[in-house]
Amino acid sequence: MVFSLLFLAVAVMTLLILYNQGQLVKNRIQLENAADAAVYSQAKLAARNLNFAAYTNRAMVANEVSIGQMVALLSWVKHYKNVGAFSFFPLYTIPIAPPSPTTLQSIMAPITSVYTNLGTALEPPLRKVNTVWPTAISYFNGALGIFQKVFALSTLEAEIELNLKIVEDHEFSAENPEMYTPVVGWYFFVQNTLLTYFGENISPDNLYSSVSGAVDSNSDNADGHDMVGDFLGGQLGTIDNMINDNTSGVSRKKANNANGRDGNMNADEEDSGDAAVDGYKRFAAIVNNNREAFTRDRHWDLGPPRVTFSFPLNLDIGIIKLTIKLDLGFWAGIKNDGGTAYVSHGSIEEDKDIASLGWSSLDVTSFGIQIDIGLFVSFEVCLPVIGCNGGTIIDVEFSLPIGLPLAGASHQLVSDKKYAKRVLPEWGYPMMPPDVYGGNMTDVLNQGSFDLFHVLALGWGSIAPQLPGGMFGVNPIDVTDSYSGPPSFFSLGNSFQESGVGYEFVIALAKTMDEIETTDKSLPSNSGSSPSSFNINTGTSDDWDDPDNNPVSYTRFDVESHSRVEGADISADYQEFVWNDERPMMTVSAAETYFANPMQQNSDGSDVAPSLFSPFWDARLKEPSAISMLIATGEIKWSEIFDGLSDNASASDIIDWVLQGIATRVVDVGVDTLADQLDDPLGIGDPIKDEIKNVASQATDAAIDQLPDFDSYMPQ
Amino acid sequence: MMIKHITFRLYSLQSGQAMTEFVVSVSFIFLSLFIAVPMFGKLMDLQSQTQQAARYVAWERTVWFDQGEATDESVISSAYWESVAIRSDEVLMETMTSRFFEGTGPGGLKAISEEDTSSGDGEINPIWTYVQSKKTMYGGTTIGSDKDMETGRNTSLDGQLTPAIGYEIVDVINDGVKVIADPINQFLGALGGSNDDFMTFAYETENYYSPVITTQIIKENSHGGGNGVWDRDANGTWGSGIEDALFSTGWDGTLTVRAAILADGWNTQSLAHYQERANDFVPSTLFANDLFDVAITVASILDGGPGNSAVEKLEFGAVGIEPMPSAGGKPLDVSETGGIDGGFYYYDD
Repeated sequence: MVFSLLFLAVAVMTLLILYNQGQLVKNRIQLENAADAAVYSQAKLAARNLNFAAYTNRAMVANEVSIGQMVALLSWVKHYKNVGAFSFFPLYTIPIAPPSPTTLQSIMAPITSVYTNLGTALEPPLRKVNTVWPTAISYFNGALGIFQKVFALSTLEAEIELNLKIVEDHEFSAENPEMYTPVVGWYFFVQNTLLTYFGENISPDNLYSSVSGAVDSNSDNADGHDMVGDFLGGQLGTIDNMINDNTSGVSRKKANNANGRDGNMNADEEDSGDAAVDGYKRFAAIVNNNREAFTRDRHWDLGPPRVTFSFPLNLDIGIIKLTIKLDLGFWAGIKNDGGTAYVSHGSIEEDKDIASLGWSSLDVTSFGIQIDIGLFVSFEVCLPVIGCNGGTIIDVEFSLPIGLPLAGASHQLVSDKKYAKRVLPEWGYPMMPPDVYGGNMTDVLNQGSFDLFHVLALGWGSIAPQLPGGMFGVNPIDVTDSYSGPPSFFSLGNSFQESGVGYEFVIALAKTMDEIETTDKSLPSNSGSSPSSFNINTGTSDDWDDPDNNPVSYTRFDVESHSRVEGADISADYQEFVWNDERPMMTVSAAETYFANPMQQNSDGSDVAPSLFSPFWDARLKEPSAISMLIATGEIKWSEIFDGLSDNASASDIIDWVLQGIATRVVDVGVDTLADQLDDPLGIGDPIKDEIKNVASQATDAAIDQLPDFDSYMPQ
Repeated sequence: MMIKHITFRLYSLQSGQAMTEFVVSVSFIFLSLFIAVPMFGKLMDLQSQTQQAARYVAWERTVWFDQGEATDESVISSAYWESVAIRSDEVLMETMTSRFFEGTGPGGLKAISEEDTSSGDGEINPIWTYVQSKKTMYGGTTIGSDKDMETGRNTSLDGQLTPAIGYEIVDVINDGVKVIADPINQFLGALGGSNDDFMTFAYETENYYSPVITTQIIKENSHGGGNGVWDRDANGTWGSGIEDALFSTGWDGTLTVRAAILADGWNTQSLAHYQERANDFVPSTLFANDLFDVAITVASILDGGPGNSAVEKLEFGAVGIEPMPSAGGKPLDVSETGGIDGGFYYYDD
């Protein structure tokens, strides 16, 4: 009988353990599935934001190029119109044959008049286009910049709302939710947002100190530097924002908006201005790199094929061998060069210089001859035993062009006429590297507008009496100020242009173990149809971590369930606060955005560098970083990492703090910029600004209103 | 002597009693437990398997697109990386059944292959059989078809709008812009060029999935048909056994698991897709039509005629999608040149 009873007890225990294990596993899987899906979806939303920025940045670049196209067309037409003025070049007015006064000018007149008349006819409509199109497109680009910012804010709101919805959609019963996001989970949301947009708010030194303290108290002796490096994507010096908001005048506007809680963000306004300067230099380079063929290089030539001669000579003087090679090229004909470039008025050194970016276009035509000379001399000395050694003595290539002017013109588009160039040296200098105003490094006949072949044309364009003030910007007709300035745009932080991996997204999710239908559950379930539990207990939880009273291991899941926060140490107490429950089943999941472009490669076959000009951002799950786990377990307090984020903040406070900050410091700054740039002849600036602020406000309020109030659970 | 005999008889009787008690215990308790314990185990295994299957179904939509409204832009081409993985809801469910419930069970991971799309060998994992009846417990796994009564969201694999108020802004902008863009497109269509998505956020937004997966237990396959009782019923008739009794609580034998995921990060699916999305916000693409092409050709006469002309190279709506200049996975530095004060920034590539 006794044997039977013992056997029976074992069998019943087996059944109970099996049941409990099943319930705990079922709920654990549910919790982790929900956390994985929520954090992955957050990263997906962030990837969307990055890809949206990439698509719209590409569009903004193309729109800038379209402005350049209009300037190029006007300059191109004007240089044909100026053919008549260039025909007054002194050499052309010298009588060359009887009957006097037969001159080159009179001989060319039938042709030059055709070009002059066509140019004169086409100029007015193109000039009109140049007063309307740049303004419209600048405004359109400004709107795209605002879209980026509003979408960024919408993304943050969606990350919060989607988190709640996904957790809800993993509940066994949506009407009786059991899972919740604890306050530490909301902190993790803020952590990613701050690092992404306001990385300068984090102090790596403070973080390292905190980590070192936490690591020292642990037994595993992990390397604090490695942990911080892993957490910050290898950045141990100054922290990069992942996304930089490049807005002209950003420092001033952010300073104007810095008050209250927002004053904590971008504390170093000078740094944000520097980032904008670098961002716009890169933007200008990207625009210039994306100029289509007409805008970039308007070279054409008419003439017989270029003739080349090569004279090789080898001299063998005893132990010395000399190799001499003389290359000669000869060409005669008409050469046209021109190009349009996105340039600033002088270097962009500081924030205020960004507004000087605009378009400059130059076209010039000459005829004449060009002699190209290439001389190569090398030697080789051969000695017995030692062998042969040598080197190059001379390796030069140069041209001797003689070009006479036929036509020339320029046009500039600026946001303010004070940014216009006035004299030729501001445009360039002879033999300037090609590709600014036309030119191709590999084509000896195509060296751009500053080819020596055009020296006389450029010079005559400065002093021709028929072009009052010259053609380089003194005359008001050569400058249009209908450009509203460069758009605001998002760009990728420097370190992320190499790593291509964003800051981690982390989510903390929990459910109280009292909601899990194990045999020891003491509280009734709120899940309705579930059966009641047996309420089997073997003691009070106070006994469990008492070393003198048979302590129970954290991992023991038999007939009694146990949460980590039921320990007796300080860490467990802190966890109870930040996880908002006395018996939570907890999980932490992480994900990240990453760049992968499998469709394109660099010309050398290497991978394309990540940027916010390529929409190849996606999301993936990752293992939470060690630092995030230390925060989740209460080993590190978040207030020691982020300036301005209080330990005593509620979940609502945390979300409000970051969303209001983004709305004020990113969206409002962008709106202010657009309003500044807008001439606003129709008086639509203020309504647009108000509407966008209204949208931003709605998005923010929508997020805040959905948050449960965790104030009573916060650590004091 | 008599006492010894009686004692012996008593010992003999007690031994028999113990054996009888043991037999009774085995019959009514141990055997019950021997059936109930594995039954619980199998049910919990099926529960766990259904949870994994629900996760699988939802997450597969992050890999296998259902195309939604963008069928013309995400096509399967001969270029491997420009192909978009597409699976219908039906095929996706078949792969789920094949991978989680058929064959030899979850003991070994199955590599993803074309064979996933077949319905497998149709043999359900034998581990999920009733102890007594030896018949399968598994009655199939299905996905919901209606809206969730509690959340109002789809229980099927039909894509839904991203459930966030922030995304409604996108729709508002789209609707507003379309009023302006549609007439422009109609006009430009007559000139030989148009873009139906002009000035709209033509991204696929219906890619939130919240499938509800249900595995049905075949109660009828249990010993006794799943309708009996453990003890005698009201008529004094004995029930059919343990398996019968487990279902006597009124449980309908369904294991239901809910899942959800946001599937699409809007990363480009092909270079053509990339080009189209970038074009949507470039107004000068509207000039890329036959009328302007003719005008440019005529203007090229000024430059010496077609073939020599600079203006012939003019291309409206030139939206570059080439990668940013870089080498070795790092962006090239930006250089500066220009006039005496510089001001021209470029990549020295």
